[in-house]
Amino acid sequence: MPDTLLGRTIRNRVWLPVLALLALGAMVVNEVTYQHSLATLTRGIGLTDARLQAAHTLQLMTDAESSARQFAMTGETRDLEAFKSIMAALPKAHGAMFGTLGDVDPQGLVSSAEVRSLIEARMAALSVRVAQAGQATTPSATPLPTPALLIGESSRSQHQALRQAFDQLLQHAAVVQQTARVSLYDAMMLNRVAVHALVLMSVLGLLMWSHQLRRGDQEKETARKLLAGQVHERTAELRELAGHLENAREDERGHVARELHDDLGGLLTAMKLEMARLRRVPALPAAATERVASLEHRLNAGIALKRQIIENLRPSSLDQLGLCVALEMLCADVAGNLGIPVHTRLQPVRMNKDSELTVYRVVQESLTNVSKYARATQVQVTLEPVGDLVRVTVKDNGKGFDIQRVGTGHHGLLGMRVRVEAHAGKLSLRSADNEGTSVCAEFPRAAEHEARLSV
Amino acid sequence: MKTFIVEDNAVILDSLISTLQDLTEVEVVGTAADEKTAVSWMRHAGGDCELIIIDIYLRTGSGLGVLEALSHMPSGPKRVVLTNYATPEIQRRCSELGADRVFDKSRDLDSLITYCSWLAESQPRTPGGLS
Repeated sequence: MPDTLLGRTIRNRVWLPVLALLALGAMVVNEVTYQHSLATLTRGIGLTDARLQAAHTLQLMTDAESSARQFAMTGETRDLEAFKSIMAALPKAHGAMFGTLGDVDPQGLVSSAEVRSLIEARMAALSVRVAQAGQATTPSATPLPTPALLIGESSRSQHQALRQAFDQLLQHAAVVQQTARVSLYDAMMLNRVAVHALVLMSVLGLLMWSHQLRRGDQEKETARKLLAGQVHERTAELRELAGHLENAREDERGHVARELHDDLGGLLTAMKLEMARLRRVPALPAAATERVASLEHRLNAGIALKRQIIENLRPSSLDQLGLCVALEMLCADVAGNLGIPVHTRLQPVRMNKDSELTVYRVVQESLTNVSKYARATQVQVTLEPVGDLVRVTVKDNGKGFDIQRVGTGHHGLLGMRVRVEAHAGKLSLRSADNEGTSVCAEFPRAAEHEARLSV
Repeated sequence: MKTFIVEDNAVILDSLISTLQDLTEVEVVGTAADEKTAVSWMRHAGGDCELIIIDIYLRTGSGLGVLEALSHMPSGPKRVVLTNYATPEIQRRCSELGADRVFDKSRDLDSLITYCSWLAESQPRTPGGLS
């Protein structure tokens, strides 16, 4: 995550409780709105039910009235029965209506007391008149009083009053409902805004997060490239250093070889010459001759030793006679020491002096390995130009080795590889159990001006 | 027998001169320690030189270069190579470049002395002169 203001803000732990709070708030709003909507709708439906029930109640009362009137006029039992059944049904009907109104208006904002009393009064009056009318059918010859409560203006106005009372009740309930409906709209608007806001915030959050991720990826990529570049540089530096070390070593060896050759060699040769003169001294006693012979023997041994040391340090033939001749001599030497044929196929190649020495050393090292480990019966050394490169190969038919197991730290292989690579070459090694070993090094051909054709 | 020696090691040179002059008829008329000096001497003053002994490894240049230069000169001295490491390869190269004999400094010093003696004796003398 980059260390920008955005990054730091996001990283801040404060965000966690804030987000939790926002999420909780959104959920609460949602839930409250739902409950509110549910209640309001239920009440709306309730209001409609109340209206229906009010109409039903009013209808029943009208029926009761007409039954009562009929009975009063005709005195038929049928009408009485009808009246009675209606009266039985009425309490239930208006009870249901008041119950529903109570649901619609739980706070009791709308008073239904007036309507209740009117209904009761009307029902009581009707019952009384009906009872009176019933008594009138028995033979008592009392003249019927005009059932004032059943006909005429007062009855009509009473009924009208009742109807108006009903309407007012229902209107009040509707007003209560309206305010509830308005608040429902508000709540739904709030919910809608909340959801939109939530969606927008989520999208924004996701965008920011993905942006950060991409930034992070870019940074990682940059860091990786930087690292790769550094590794590359280091490797090149190491390679150069290895090259310098090798050169320093070879120079040192050449220096020592030279000293041995010049100073020590000179002395030994001078001694040999003295010996030659000593041998020719006339009248040398036999004992002296013997001693001289013995001395000369030791001297020769010393000279041979000096030679061996010099050749191992710096092959003199390489400088004087060229790479191919030097390799021939080396192979002949090894063949003589090991007693096995070392075949050569050497073509003249164009290389600079340092690369020539490296090739010589690679062959020398490989042949040393062959003599130490391979137990081969023959060896093939090849030097040839291949396109833009010079390839040298040392192949034996010995017992080989497992490259993976041995690793490059042994048998001077690592040294060889470092050396070869320090001269812009490539070393490849192929070996398997009982299938011999092949060491192959390739070098770039030298430019015309810095090489000499080695024959 | 007038002899010129090309050798860069002072110790060997001294020893060689005193040995040859002691045991043979060799008369060392000049020495050189590098290829250039040797070749230029031969060109300008090597007219009556009869033997030239050349070392391969010189201070600068190489005995092989001297041999090669000599092979282009119509001169008469016998060319002998005296070297530290007379391998068959070197012998072959020297012969190719016109050397008459090749001697190894460690092995063949006796042979060299013998050869110089024989050469000195078999050289045609100037008319009227005694050896």
